[in-house]
Amino acid sequence: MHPDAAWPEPPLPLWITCSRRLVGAVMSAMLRLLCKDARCPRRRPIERGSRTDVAATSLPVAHDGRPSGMILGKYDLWSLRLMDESLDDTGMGPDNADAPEVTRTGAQVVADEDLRRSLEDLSGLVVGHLGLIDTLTHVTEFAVRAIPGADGAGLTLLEAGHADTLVASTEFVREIDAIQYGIGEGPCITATAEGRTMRSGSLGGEPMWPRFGPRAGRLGVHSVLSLPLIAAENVLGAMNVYAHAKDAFDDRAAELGELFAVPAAVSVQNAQILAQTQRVAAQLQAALTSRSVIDHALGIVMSRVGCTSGEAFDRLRAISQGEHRKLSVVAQQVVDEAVRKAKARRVHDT
Amino acid sequence: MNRPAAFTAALLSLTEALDDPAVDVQLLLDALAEDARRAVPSYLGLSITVVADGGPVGVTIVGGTGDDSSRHTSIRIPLSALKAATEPGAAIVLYASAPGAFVDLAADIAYQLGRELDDIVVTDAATGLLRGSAVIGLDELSIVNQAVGVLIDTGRTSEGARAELRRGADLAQSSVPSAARLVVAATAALPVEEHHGSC
Repeated sequence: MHPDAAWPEPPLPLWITCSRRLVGAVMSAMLRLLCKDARCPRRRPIERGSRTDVAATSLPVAHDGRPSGMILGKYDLWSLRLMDESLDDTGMGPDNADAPEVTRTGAQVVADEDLRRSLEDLSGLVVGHLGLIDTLTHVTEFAVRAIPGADGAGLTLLEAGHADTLVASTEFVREIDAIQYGIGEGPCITATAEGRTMRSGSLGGEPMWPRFGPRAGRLGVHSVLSLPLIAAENVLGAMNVYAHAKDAFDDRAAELGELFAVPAAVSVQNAQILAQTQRVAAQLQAALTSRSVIDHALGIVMSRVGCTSGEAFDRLRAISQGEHRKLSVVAQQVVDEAVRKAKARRVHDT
Repeated sequence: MNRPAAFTAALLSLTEALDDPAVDVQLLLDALAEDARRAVPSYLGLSITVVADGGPVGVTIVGGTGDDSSRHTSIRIPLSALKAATEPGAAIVLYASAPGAFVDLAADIAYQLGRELDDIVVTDAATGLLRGSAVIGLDELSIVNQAVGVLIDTGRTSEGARAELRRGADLAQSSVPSAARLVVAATAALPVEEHHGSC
């Protein structure tokens, strides 16, 4: 086949997600692995500002001097090192008509299908309608489906260098992660500190975490896969995936988990920005509403006493502190009283 | 990070108005700026505008790792899309120095919020200097509300007070904040015996 000929669209219709290009890259990588006849979307540059679905996704346009969303720490999806060394561009590209067929076991087919469905669900998250906690909880639930062998998952975000915003798909994960952060030792802590995947198949005897491991083992949790969430070369936090069985997570599970973690990190990052924006806007609005009442009260005090706004503020604050009431509550009382008097005056005058 | 004293004082006044020990408006804004800086390598700053008493109040924070030049690109997200405000004009704008820095973020956010891409406006051209950190509109809002308080104390309703200020602005062919300053200044100029009460 001529190298410049257009390749047929891949058979699976897929929607991309929070980061359409990131998941497009992930799905392209998955399709290369999954499609027996090695059909691949032809690579072409993404037009700036365009929205493409996965079938047309290809090489990212460079923004900010780096490929948009493609290079995430060590995980260079376009080189496909995560998936299989033999499936890199030179082995499976559209220009290689002799690319070998990919064969998969039945279990691999199921695992890949689970990942595909989880990525689709991740893409369907409408973050603006959910709080940050709900969004993150959904991400952990999708992760459990995406990673073969998983019984539960938790997600931790870093805030100012320490763990914050812990969510879990099940109660036992919440318990295990509470142990981890309580003693300051565990796979998630190591994964975020070192920015790399941590895995264990026998927590009870795990030398990496001599205090955490036995405690997890006593709770019947024997396997863990901790995946750092990395976006724009920043470690946002980590996703912990647990299983009751020993040796539950093989190399394939780790690879699938790392693939899932890529768009999950972007989902999380965008959700953080949106959630923080909501928080800031709400507090600014509340502050301005309180400030309006306080300013009304200042005007009333200035009119009555003939002082400056600063002196009026000092009077209100003294009342607030002396009576242990919020400044806005004191101000509202001043305003209400003034409105009542003004109304009485108008009634008297008419 | 050095910021103008007026900026810090304005945010402090908003924190005081909330009177909640768990909330510091400046820290909240800094956290948002940090999230944006981590997501966008050439991030320059942000502006968030909310609307109060019909008037916009905007907070701009400048300071990022991008090149500090007059050319910048921006992304504007209406706060109504986040269910964080209903008034038109309430929005957050992020700025970056690299052209195209927000193309992906715009598409992602539009999709995440279930909005059309056109609702998330990306401006990819020089739109003037991104000046220093500032709070715009807060002083004007304060003086108007103080003047409303003065007029309430003279017997008007809140709506009547605002109408009076608008009338005064029209007569003087000036703005409502200018009329408000005159009202407040006139109160201060009254002899002590003409003030009729205590607080």
